[in-house]
Amino acid sequence: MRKYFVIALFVLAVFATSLIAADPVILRFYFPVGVAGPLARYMGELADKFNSTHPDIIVEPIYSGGYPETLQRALTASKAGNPPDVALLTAADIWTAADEKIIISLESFVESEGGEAFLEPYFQAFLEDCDVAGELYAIPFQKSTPIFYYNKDMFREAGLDPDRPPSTWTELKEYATKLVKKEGGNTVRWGVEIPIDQWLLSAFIMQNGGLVNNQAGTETYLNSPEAIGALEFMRSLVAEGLMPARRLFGDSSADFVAGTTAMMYNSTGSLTFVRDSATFDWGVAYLPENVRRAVPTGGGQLVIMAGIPVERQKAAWEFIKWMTLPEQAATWSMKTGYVAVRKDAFDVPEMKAYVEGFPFAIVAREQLQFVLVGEPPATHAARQIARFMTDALEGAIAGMISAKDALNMAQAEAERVLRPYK
Amino acid sequence: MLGYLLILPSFVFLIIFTYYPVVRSVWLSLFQKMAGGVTKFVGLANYEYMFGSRLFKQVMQNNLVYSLGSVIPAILLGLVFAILLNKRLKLRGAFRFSIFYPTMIPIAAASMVWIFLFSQSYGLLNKVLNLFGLSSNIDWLNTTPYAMLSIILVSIWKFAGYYMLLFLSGLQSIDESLYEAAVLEGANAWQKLRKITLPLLSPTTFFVTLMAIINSFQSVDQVYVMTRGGPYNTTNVLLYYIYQNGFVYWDTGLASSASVVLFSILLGFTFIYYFGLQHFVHYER
Repeated sequence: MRKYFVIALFVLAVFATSLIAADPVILRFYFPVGVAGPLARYMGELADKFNSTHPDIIVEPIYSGGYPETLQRALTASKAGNPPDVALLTAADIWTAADEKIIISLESFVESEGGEAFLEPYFQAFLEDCDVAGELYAIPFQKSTPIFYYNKDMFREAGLDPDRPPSTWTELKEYATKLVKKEGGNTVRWGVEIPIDQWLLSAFIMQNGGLVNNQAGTETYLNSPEAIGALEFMRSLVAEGLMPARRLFGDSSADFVAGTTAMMYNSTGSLTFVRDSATFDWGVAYLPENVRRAVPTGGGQLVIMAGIPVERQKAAWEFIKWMTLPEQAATWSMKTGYVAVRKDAFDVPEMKAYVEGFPFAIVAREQLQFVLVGEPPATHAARQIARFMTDALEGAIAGMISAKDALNMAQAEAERVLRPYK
Repeated sequence: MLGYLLILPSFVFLIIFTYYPVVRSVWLSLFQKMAGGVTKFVGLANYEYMFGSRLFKQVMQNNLVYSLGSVIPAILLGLVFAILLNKRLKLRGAFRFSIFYPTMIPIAAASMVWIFLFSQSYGLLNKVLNLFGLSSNIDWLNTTPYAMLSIILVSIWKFAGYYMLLFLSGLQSIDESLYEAAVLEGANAWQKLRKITLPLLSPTTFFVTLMAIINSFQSVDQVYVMTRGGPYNTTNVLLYYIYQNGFVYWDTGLASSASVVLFSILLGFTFIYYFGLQHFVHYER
């Protein structure tokens, strides 16, 4: 009996050591879900596919809430000395993560893969969001832009050409005036809805000829005449009864499919939701222009965490590289509605067929030519500055403060938080 | 000696999880965070900025509105329910249960439900108001002052039952013979309430009031779930402000300064409580 026990123990020991010897690298990957849909499931499928083709690496995708929570968890885990290996962060949070030194520069990896030639297939518009003051820290993965949605049936009903969406701010207001519908004292249908978010305020500022911040990410221009003009225009839409005072992205897409707004600004990430839920004829278009046509980018990019062993960083790079190959970029785009991050993803046969059946995906891609600087604010302490902008937008369009005062205040606050970085 | 030994376990936990963080907050509030996790000693500059900022003033004002608006009605309702349900009524248990029930639901989950009730287009609240002929198209959670009103309503709903329970236990400790004597003297219901119930309930009332005020500074869940401090910071309360600065912006200096303010406020109320216990409140033994 005792003999068997010893043998069993010995066999177990050999088995265990052999397991340890062939131990694959395990990567923990924090990812947020930013739009509606079973994205967590798709992410699991993607990781499974990677794991089955890479026997020496095991990726464990870990759902980490929204984007802010993902940074929060990555930061606290890093500070506790137990960082994940890969994370999916927004452009704003990459600045914070780099400032906190919890992510590593990807320059050397890109260099070893062929430098510029490696980055060439990615849309330049998306690479804008991957650097911190000129140094590459991330690779684009799930990217979006705001896009203009409109209800073609309502256009017909109001006597507007359903194939001619508004292309300027002036037309936008004109159309909204025709499309808004009131019954008694209540508005039963809004002309347009622009969700309360600094993302869209940035779009209007850039369309008005302004910029949100400098390249080095140390200065903001929130109270420039262009910015004040942009906010005044947005405010006038509410003041003239064409737009509700406060809608978030989810509220607007719900209102749009329910027919309580005729037009809306929303993320390309909502394309799939609107396609699946709208019971009417609808279309998408570029955002209307003013002084110039301009659009910001949005969404998330992949980063490698600092404070992990070199072999895990190498494995993490393999994973990031694989995740953004044409095949995966196409799959992710088709499943979620995000814009595929590289040009050659559109040559993948499935993607070709998909785009043919759903040409709106092309509108989103074509709009990328109007991306100026990626996703503003691209600065240190970006999340705080984004909040000052959203506050200014909220206060001004609710009519609680003038556009000028609101933006002066936002600029003063921004200067305070940026002072340490100068 | 044995006494000290016996309180040692809880004292260790208090030091690690209460006193040390308090001291650390005070310390951190004197620093500004710089790039790369480096901090710089700035003295009282964080406080100076905070007390000068419009947002902080608004946050304090919001908290005051929220505290007064939720504490007073919740206590009054709790008291009224307790007095009514202390009588021998049919279905007394069922009433008590249904009023106490909200206390048992986690506030975050309850807030999710309330979001639907408050919805402008399909919310039950607007539908019910319309039923009564009040043509209501209020966007409860997205317009002022309705957003704050909504947060206050949820708090009252949540806490009134708990206060009722405390009042009930207070009522049951009042000696029945006092009422019998009063009836013999020919006292009416109002006189009994005024001269016996309320004075003898005063320790409970005092305790409940302070608990409620302290509660009102500590509740943040419904703000986080229902409005995230919006619209335009009109529902941003002190604890949410701390959370935002600490865990969304990573401005630990500012968050610590605000925490110290919150701590001082709560400490002040605790002092009032213990001081009041010794001096003002009438105890019948």
